[in-house]
Amino acid sequence: MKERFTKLLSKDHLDYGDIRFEKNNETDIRYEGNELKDIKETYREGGHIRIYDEGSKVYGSFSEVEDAVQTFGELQKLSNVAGDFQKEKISLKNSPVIKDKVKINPQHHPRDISLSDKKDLLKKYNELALKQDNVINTIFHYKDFNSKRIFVNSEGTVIEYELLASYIHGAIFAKKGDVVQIKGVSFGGFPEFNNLLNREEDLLEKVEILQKMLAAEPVKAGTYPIIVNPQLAAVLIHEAFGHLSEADIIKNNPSFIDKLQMGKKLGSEILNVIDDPTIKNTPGYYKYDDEGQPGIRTELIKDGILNGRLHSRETANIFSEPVTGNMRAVDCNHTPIIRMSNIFIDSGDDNLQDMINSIDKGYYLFNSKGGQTTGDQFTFGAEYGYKIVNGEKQEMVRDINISGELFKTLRNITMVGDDLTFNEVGGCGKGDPMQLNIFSGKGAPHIKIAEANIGGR
Amino acid sequence: MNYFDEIEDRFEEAEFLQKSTNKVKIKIENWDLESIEHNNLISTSLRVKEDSTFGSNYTYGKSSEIMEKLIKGAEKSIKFGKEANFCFSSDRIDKSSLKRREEYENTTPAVLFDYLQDIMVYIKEKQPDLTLDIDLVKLFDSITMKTSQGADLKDEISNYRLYIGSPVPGGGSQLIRGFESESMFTDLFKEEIDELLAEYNIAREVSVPKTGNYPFYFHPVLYTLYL
Repeated sequence: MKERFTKLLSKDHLDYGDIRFEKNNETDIRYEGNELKDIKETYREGGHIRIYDEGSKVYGSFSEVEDAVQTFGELQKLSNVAGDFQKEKISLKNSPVIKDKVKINPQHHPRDISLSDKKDLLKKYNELALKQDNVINTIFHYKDFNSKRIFVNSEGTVIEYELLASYIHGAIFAKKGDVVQIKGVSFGGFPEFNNLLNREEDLLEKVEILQKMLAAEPVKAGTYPIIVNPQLAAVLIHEAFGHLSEADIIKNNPSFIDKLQMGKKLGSEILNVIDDPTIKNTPGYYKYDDEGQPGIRTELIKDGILNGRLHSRETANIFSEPVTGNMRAVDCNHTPIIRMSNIFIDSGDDNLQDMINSIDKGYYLFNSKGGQTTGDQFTFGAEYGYKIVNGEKQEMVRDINISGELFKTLRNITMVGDDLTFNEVGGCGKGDPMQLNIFSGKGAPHIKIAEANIGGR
Repeated sequence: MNYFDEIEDRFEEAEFLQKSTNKVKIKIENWDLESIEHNNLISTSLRVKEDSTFGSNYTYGKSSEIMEKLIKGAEKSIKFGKEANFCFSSDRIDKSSLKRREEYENTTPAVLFDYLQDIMVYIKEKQPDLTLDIDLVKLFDSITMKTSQGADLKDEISNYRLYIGSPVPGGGSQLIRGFESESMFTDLFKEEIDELLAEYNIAREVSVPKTGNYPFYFHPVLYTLYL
């Protein structure tokens, strides 16, 4: 197959071409309440071709190896028409030729576990949650995904590589009186399936918090200093800042190019934000991206200053910045787009207790619960939080939303904890149509934001 | 449908659906061609019944390896399946349309680019400082379904989509107008474009609201999201 693709790409005098072919195995199991809603093992394969020629970019997917020649020919025809329409000619940053094979060899591979055993594991967690006081419903989802990929380009690069993940994600719904609360549960196996086993205590801890959420008072709206726990801080940096680091998001938006000039001060001097696919056993770990580029650590914000950006070969050329190896495709039906690998706020020097002590009247917020960003404006929900009064953590509060302007919020980060933690399960939605990349990790330590808008009662 | 005989042999009842999708999408960003996407994809779903129990599976592609794994996946699924208290179709309807297919094939890339050019010229004259983004998509789905009850269904669907948009001045939200049709557009949607340009100019003058508790009312469009 590799030889056929290499031959196809060398047939004509293209500026550049690449082909990615995938064989993907996936398991999905879903419970809603007591009902097994979905259970299936699927296999799918297919390929994707990209052509850069005469300054334009044309790409497309095909279902079978035999269809590659036809798709390639159709793309070439389109490329010929496109060239006349293209004003600014597109070209790629130079890249070394790579020949490599990357295998993932976990000790506990999900393919070695039967569908029945996976179902029983999910059922066990689901039933445990359902039998707890006040729990009225659950949604539990198990997924594993193993993608074996071959990448070949017209420059001579040939890489075989693999992606592997399994995870359980649940939402537990509880009701007491008129109050309904939801608590998320996530166990991740990146790549070890065994990380999903024996998690009953973790689950019960979450349910215990849920019980307290039912008895908590709604948060009082206002502007406060807040401490954000690592899970919520990780989502905040991913959604509010991380996507603006993706060069394809900003390259054709003059307003953002202006706001995100390299060297610009974006946050307080204690803020360091990094994207790093080289951290093993995290959702965003990989050696090569789907453009055949090595994944590298990129310092996005260094001491509060914009220092780096996430790039493809194309955008690296446009911005005259280094290629970062962040082109990822969720599967063979999609072209790669620029995506975060593992984005995180780096550890600082502060400890949690000092952060709490530093606040007279504020909140300590936990875990993300939905949200959205629009450009540099964000709104996120927090699952729950605690009041802080005179440097002491007090009673729990619920129904919390934080909103604000990204850059002002980054400048308001006045303490960064020494307890960097990565979320067990990743996930990132981007693209048109929306593509969920499960191989996207995020992390953070506790952070203190001196002033944040809290929506509530 | 070469695989359908084998599927019929393996299950008491089966429904085999195959969709072939041909799609061309031209993407304009900030007045320039960003990319052209052209997909030729086949997706397949299989729903089966054994002892009144339901199973299902899906895949992309059509190779023998894919079909074998599709069938095996459905066999596994049925072991955990729910009671199937419904029947698969026995209808025989052919809604494939030679006219629609010919029209799709005649809408060549050159036709699409000419249309885009007309829209861009119209907007450029009215609002040259706009950051113009356009997506133009043509799509043709050919769907076939067979069941062990004798159903033989064919349908062909063409769809054309046009999105014209621009980020509001200063970044942030995107102003968008979207259009869909069974056949290629001829209208330049000047009225809707003028409306979008008017919104763009209003957006230049808006300020960010001050945080606080205020009375407010929902625009009808926003209210539907709230519901």
